[in-house]
Amino acid sequence: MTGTTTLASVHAAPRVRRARRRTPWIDRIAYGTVLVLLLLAVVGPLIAPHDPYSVDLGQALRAPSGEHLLGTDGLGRDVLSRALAGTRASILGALMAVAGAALIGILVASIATIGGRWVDDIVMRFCDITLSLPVMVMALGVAVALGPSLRSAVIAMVVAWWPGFARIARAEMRTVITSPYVEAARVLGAGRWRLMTRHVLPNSLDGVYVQATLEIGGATLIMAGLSFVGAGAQPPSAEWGAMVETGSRYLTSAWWISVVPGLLITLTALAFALTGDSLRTRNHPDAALS
Amino acid sequence: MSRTKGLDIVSLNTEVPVPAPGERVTPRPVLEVSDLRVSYPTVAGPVEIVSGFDLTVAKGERVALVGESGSGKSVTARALLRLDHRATVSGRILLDGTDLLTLSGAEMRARRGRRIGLMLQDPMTTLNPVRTIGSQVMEALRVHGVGRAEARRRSVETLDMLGIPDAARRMRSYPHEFSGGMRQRVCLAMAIVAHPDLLIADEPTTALDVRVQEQVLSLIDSLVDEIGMGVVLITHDLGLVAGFADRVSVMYAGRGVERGPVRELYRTPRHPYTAGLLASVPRVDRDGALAPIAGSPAQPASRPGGCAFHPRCARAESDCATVLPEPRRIGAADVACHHPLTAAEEGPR
Amino acid sequence: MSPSLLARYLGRRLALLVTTLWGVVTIVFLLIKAIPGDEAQAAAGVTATPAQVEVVRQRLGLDESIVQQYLAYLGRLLHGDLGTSIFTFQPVLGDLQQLIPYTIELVGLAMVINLTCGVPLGVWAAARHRTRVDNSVRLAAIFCGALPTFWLAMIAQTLIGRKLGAVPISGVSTLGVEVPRRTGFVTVDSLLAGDLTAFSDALAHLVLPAAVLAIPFMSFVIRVVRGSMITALEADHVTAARAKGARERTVLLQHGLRNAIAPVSTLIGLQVGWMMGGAVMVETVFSRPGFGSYLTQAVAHKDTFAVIGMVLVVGVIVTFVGLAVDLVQLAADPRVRLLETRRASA
Ligand SMILES: Nc1ncnc2c1ncn2[C@@H]1O[C@H](COP(=O)(O)OP(=O)(O)OP(=O)(O)O)[C@@H](O)[C@H]1O
Ligand SMILES: [Mg+2]
Repeated sequence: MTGTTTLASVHAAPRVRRARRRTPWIDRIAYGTVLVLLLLAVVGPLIAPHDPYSVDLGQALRAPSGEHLLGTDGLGRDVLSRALAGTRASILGALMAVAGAALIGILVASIATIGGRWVDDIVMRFCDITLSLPVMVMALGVAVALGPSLRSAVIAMVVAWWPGFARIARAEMRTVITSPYVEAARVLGAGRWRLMTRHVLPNSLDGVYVQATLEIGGATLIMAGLSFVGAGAQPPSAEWGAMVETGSRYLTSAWWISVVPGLLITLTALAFALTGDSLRTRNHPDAALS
Repeated sequence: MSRTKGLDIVSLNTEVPVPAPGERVTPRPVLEVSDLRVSYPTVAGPVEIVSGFDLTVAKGERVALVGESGSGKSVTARALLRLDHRATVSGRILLDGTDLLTLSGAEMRARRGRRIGLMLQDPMTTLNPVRTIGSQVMEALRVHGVGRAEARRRSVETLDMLGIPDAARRMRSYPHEFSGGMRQRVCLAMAIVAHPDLLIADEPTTALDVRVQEQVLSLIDSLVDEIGMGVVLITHDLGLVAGFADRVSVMYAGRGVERGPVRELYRTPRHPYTAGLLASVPRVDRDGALAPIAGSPAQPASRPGGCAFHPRCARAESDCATVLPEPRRIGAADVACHHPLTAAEEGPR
Repeated sequence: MSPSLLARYLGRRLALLVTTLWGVVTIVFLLIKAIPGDEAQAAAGVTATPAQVEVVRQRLGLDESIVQQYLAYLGRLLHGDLGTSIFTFQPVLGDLQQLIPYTIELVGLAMVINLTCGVPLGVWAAARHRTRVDNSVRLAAIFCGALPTFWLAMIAQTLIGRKLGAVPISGVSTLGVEVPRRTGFVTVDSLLAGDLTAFSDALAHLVLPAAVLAIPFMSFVIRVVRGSMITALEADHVTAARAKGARERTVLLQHGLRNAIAPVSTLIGLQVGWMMGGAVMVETVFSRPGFGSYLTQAVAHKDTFAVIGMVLVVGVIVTFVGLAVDLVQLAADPRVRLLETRRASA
């Protein structure tokens, strides 16, 4: 490609190669689970044995059986089918929220990095304030403003979460932009824009990726929580948090309605958290887990 | 150095060293280390960092332990106090006749600080940044059951003796309020405040400028005279050793290669490595160019067979690569070399 | 730190506090303005006639320019006017004053549980770094962080409350054992009334929700304590302490945990705010009155002023907690003191 690109590859930030350790079995299970969940998010609704929305009051509150592997809910809908269908809403919702937050975060961090001290100060102060507000409360504020729906839950989480990514991205950009190879490119006359897009951005996003993986688990939890308190996906839509809420009335009589989606939320959050943690340990062995 | 031969070495150790003319007569040993082996687990399996090392320190004696960077001096120091639970330590470490390696954790703890004081290598990191100087010096007494007031009194006394001005007030200071030299003194104070029988000082002077270096050394020196403790001074600076130590032990790649009285060792080094080290130190009594030893130091993980020094040794013959040389008594020194320099040969060049 | 420097530091910190509060208020104001739909209509209620809406619009100054509205908003806030709830028809501030003690009690006990379990576990894992204990604690921590609070609350309520009957399943006190309200904190009020039955009743209502709320937060505490302890324990001063003959306990607490106070207290400060977010779900499940259940109701009734007012209140609480954390660090860590002294004298 262009001369600058060559320069970047010559002076590329030295990536420390570590002695390859075997991936622990627990991490492999986590990777596998994440893949399966992502796959289900795509094909889940297609392989559902029943229509997740078809109401059949005659079949209501059936315990798990051959016909309904995970039983039925209060309206006679198949819990397995709803859980599968819910994979899309819950996981894709979380993915979109994290992707949106990460994108805005990177954008803001870039502005702070090229914008000079004042811009940087103001932007980061703003991030700190937003960060200290609980996501749940912020998101409720946004959700009430936009009217409760899955879409507003996603928007709410983007609004509440981008500052976290902005902080991480900015910290890394700071390190990269002061490193010798960017200095070299600067000396060769690369402009701010070019420096940013060709040198700083490609070399400072590792931390953001890892953080994003970690946050997908958390995002699933918060999305489900928002639906649960009525600020996210609305009934009758098949979404795990909303499903837990519908089942709460039957917890003593038909536990499966709430327990199944609850376990799925836990599994998703756990798989992404373990994967993110594993990625981070690979990036920095012995890094403080914070 | 094989296990079975270890016995010989012990008997060799317990032999009272023949006092050379002008050498002070050394009383019974505080510390007798024989066949010390220390290994650490690594990703590629355990690595024996220290591989059969002997050392004897008598009461009131100053012994220097010298060797290049990475030769295992600090590992030895930590192993003597059994400080690192990841390390596997074997051999014998006799402190006043008791083998430290047979002690329980509590018995060992009672001896740390109280019987053996250790001064770690880096004064900048040896002090806890969030605690006061005073609390850290006092800690060395408090953990051995000394009351608060008594501990404070003795700590102030020690800091005072080590030349910290206004010690009573400075007890309340934090490490960052002290200069490097002052911190070094505080570290020394922590190591000696409980009046141990033995002080192990790991490169107590590296980070310091020459003037402070001399001050710290003379402090240690006067302590030896005052409280009669034995000292192991770890360093890679042979220039420092000449004016300070009674005896010297030279370490290469985790093994002792030569030990003996300091004058003897300087005058007639027997081991080619010792000779090489001396040749690379500027000396007033000899002119000529400095000659650093060729090649790079052996790494413990990839220690050459036979004598670990043979790839860098000009006198190496075929047996050096295959047979591990046992220490032999030559004159007043113990030398582990198949082809030692003789007194007639001019050693350091 | 000398008194004059300390005064200067406090002055600077208070200035920062004011800026932060102003930032929170501005964010909240922008949030209101970003809301699509007619605020006047919302404030007047859905049943209001167009004429009534116009009256409300003028009263709230919504017909003025945005800058004037902003200034008017700031002015109202300075008088403690957070607006009126369209659901309870009460001033939001009054509602909150009534309800927030319940939430503070919940968050307070949750924080106690969080720290008394999380800190020792983190210390234990760090002390056994790279062993099976360490690994198990780490995994347990990750697992705790993956549990959805609302679901955990439901399950715990059903199993421990309903099935075992170990604790009451809802509310803040049993009907009939109420004590006169003085501070609003049920536990404190019952103690003030000298009524131990009421006190243990209040605790029984509190303990399960608080435990549930604490669990996901323990996950962070364990990991941060573990991480910063591992870093701290690698330092030479730890070896030095062992060389003095210190017990492992002393080493861990005096040279490990003591040095980890700064990162851990930062986390605790942040968690106070986050816990108020978690309380939203826990209070809903356990039908406890409080900040969270008020907020869910407000969301359900599209009670904009109530929601906005509460975001603001949380912001204020979080800001003051941040100040407290900074002061703790200033007292505990001479390095922070040094940094601040340099800044103050710069
Ligand atoms: N915990 C450990 N695990 C594995 N290897 C170690 C460990 N500590 C030290 N080593 C290795 O032991 C060797 C000797 O280290 P040591 O610190 O004792 O050297 P030294 O003689 O004190 O050198 P210096 O003069 O630089 O202080 C080095 O190769 C080092 O890599
Ligand atoms: Mg060393």
